[in-house]
Amino acid sequence: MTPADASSSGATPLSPERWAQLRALVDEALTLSGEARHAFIDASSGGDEALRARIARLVTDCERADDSWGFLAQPAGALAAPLLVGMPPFGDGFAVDAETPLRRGRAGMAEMLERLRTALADRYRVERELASGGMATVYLARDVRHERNVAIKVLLPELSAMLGAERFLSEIRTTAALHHPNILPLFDSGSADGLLFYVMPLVEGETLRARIDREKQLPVADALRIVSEVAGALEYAHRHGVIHRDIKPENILLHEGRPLVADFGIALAVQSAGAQRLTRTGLSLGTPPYMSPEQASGSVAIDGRSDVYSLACVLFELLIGDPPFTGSTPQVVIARVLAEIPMYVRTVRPSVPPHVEAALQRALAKLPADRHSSAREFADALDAAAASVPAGVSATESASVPAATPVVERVGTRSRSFGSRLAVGAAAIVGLAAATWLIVRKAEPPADIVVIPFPNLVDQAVFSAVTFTPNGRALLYTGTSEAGRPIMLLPLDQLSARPLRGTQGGGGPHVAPDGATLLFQSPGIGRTTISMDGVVATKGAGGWRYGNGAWDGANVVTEDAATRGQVRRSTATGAVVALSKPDTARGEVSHEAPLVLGDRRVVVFTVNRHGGRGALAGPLAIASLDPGASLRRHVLLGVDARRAVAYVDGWLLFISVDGLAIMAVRLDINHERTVGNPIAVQAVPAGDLQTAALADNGSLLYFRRPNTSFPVLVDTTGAVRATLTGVTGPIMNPRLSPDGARVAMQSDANGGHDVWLYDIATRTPRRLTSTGSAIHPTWTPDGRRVVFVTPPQGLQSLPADGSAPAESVLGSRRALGPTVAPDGKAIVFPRVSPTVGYELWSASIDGGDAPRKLIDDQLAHNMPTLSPDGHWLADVTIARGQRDVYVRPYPGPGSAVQISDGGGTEPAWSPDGTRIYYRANGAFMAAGLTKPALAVAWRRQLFKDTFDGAMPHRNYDVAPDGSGFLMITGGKSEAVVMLNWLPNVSARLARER
Amino acid sequence: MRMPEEQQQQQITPALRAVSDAAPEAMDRLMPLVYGELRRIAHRQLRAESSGHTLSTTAVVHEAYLRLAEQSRVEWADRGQFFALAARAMRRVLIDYARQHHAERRGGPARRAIALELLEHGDSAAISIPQRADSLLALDEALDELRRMDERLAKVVECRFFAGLSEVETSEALGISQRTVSRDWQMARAWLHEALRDDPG
Repeated sequence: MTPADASSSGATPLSPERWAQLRALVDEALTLSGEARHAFIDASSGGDEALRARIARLVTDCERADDSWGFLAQPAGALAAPLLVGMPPFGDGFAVDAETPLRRGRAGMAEMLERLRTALADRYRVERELASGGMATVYLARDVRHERNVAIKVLLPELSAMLGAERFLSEIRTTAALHHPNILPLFDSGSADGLLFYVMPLVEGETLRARIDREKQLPVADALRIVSEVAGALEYAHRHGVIHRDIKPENILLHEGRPLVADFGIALAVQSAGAQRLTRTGLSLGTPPYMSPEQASGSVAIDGRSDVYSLACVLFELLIGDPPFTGSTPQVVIARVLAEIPMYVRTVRPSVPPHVEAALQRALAKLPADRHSSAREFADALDAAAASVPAGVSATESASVPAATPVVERVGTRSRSFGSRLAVGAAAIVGLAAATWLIVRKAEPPADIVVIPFPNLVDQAVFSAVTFTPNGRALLYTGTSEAGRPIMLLPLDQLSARPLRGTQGGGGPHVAPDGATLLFQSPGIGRTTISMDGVVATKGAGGWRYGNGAWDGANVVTEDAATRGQVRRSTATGAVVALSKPDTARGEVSHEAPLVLGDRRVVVFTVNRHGGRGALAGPLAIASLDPGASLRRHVLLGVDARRAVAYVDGWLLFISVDGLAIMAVRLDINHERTVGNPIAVQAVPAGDLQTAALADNGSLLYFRRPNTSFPVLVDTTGAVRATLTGVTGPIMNPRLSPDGARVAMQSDANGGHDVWLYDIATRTPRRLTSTGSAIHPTWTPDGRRVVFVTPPQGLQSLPADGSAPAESVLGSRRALGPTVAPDGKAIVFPRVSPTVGYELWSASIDGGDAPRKLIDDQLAHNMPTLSPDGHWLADVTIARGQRDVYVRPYPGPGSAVQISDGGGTEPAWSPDGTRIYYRANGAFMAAGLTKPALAVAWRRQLFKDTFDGAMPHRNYDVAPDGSGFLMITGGKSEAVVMLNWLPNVSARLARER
Repeated sequence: MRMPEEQQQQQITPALRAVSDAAPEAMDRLMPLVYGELRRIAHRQLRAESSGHTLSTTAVVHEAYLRLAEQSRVEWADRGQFFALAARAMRRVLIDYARQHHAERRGGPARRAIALELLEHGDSAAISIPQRADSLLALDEALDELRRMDERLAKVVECRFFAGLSEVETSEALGISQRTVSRDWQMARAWLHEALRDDPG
């Protein structure tokens, strides 16, 4: 809008001079009051009623603006926030800084159009704007001389101003000589009124970008055809000495299905004309997701192989919907382009032929010398690479070739026969890691370590490994119980994880080195399920512990449930070979946490001597995987650890016994011994390291579960009112005494579980049990005794003042924490069931009545809690992996009413019995109940649930006076990814050598 | 997206270094950088705020400052220099979003009426996105008019309204006394209110 448009307004813009006068009058009037002010305004407006009214209004508004006036009182954020939601964090041009869109107002655009019209009037009739990108604006125009419609691309004025026009135009002219059916010709170029422009035919059709946006992935055949034709255009241009330098879907137009490459040489023209100035401001040109590593690192010597790389990025995107490296900012993308190995497209799109995968991986090599030498060669590899698969190798076998081939060849560390490459198996992880390391080491110095924490990734109660995909681009872990605990895949460059189909209840995910196959443990007790691509393929007898196994895609090395030693089991045939046996004479209980290494010749594992509780720790041992070795013996390595992590370049990485660091020690595999003393390579001051993994790209992942948490008293909005410190170790399952003065809680310090009592007024903790095996405490209604579970003996109780020894309440091996009826006589408790998971049982606390099963619907029920009047029972019912809170009459009969909607767990009653509290998907919820015909009147979120949840027992309590809740905080697990870790650490290890 | 922030930090530093010893107008070169940074931080902030969708531009600007200036160890002439630039960039960020949502539904006067209503009576979840976009665009236009008359007033609005800076921070940013900020802010609000009122007079 121009000033003239507002002429009708009382606030007609004035000249700065006139405004200064007006403002002086207003300021002066503000110093006066009452009649004096009126008189002053009358006098100074000199009979001009409009002016008088205007001064008066401004004075009034100025005075209002002092205090409670709403106008502009709130900063723009609240008003604007909804505008940002759902919009991309970047403007239309995803490009580095020079391209960050600096869009002017509509007035500015109209101005540009006018300016262009005038400047080009003799040759072109500029009609309207067609599109606007980060670097240029495209206009529809009529070429008056040739009577045809054309597209005129005009560089943004800022860019035009920075570039030298002559240089730009001379560069662009060299591309005018290109004539190829797949190259969009250049009609004209020039400089007009300081604007640099060039003219192209107007193509009817769309850009490849538009098609990707619409279809996400293209049919494989279409993608290959388009890319092959573009490769032909590139081959032609390269032979004429022209490099495109900015191949991306935006620059490929589709005209009746035929790809046309646009903007040939423009990037170079811009760059060479203005490179110096651009460089000085730290800016660079290009489009990071499609930039070759040599471009990204600012190399001057770019040749056709850079375009081949970019085209491979385009093919990659056409096949799976995203280019190989993405990120939230150009800088992140560039870092990845330089450091990371692209993922295998067949991981997410198995229909891509293996030879295409191989061609892609080769074209995406970091070093130009490792790529196809020409665009033609790349196209040939896409068209006919099947022919280059060595004879005698079936298509299925060749599928795993790309995993190892490009990298091994890239580095050329050793030459292997094709067959041996197929057999590298688990050792490939190590080989790939070392290979990457070598590549990165060439670039001095290595990129700095980037630390990315992922708090609360894993359901608190599920002890499940977090691991990488082999290329380090994504994390795998077990999802929350609310979602049915599927295995989740979290790409590091994306916000949200997605569940892998068919993995509900799965644990201990392992990905094969080819990145295409997932191994996990199924939920069934004592049974192992091997799964390929989420589809159950084989079931084996026996089992291994969550997160405890090493897999190479064909065999899994794991702890055997029967012998507790390590075994190797074929996932195809189920055939088992014993590898080690715990030496019971030396106190060995089990062999756990295997790491297969040394070209798959040996396994290193942790010898567990204490049998169970707490973190795994013990001496590391080595055993042979050689099938010919008949004598199954293992050798202690003289190093204590929690578990071995990786083997890189002669160094064995492991987690220290105290969980405070990742250590390295030299390991001589042939002589089965370590050399020298271990050194710490990564301290984790917060400690509690549980697992760690090293990805092919040198990224380190570690997972820690803190060993300390504490109860907090919060109000009904979730605000913390008091922190109850003093009890060490992870605190769980707190229960307030009926008078609200004390807390019974479970502490898992030192690997044991004991019940503590905490006096809130004096902040004094007192240990109630010391057996190391007491969990799930609860109070009797009179507040005199604490009932708890001592597995496997069953339910016991103790006087809260500790004046008498524990008494047995109920001998039940499988009973979990009870809820005590208000009369103090009956208890309801969950019992672990081998068939359905959990069942609810009731019994009398004095042993008078035999226990009986309450619900028999073949569904799992747990977390029972009786209403304050004892007539209703709330529980969590698990149906098809979904957990929801239900309430039913107690002791029955009567039907259950669903309380939560779409997931809910850990129910508790309000003290007056009118509402149920529960946790649901990160929210702490309340549901109001109507009675006597029980129904849910309302549900609402009380606060965002940032406290520690738990399974299978409620991990909070309700204050008896209804003033708030007792929550647990601080004990959350955390996964941390450290990008570029290995390259940084390896330099140090090399010095230690 | 989890941002390897340190990584970005490194990339930005050379650009900052390049301008820190150059002429003041070189500051404008940093505009795209600050613009992008603000956008990114704003989005992250909104993501962190999974419910309610509030955006504290104040927090965004301060975080951008910490990241771009302090952590990269670049000597800015003063903190205000950055704030002034960031306020301008913040306005541009929000207006660009408004523009993306706006499809020329209404002409100027109708738009201004909505803006007046909205900006005076505050935010509510019931206000539609087009209304929000319209309001911001109307204010942006009015602010352009104000700038032509009195650039300092417009800058004060950018700092106080768009960037959510306090009076003290605004005085630091614009190099004027706090009392002047206070008076300018009064006057700017009064004038903008008049401009949006759109009653012939």
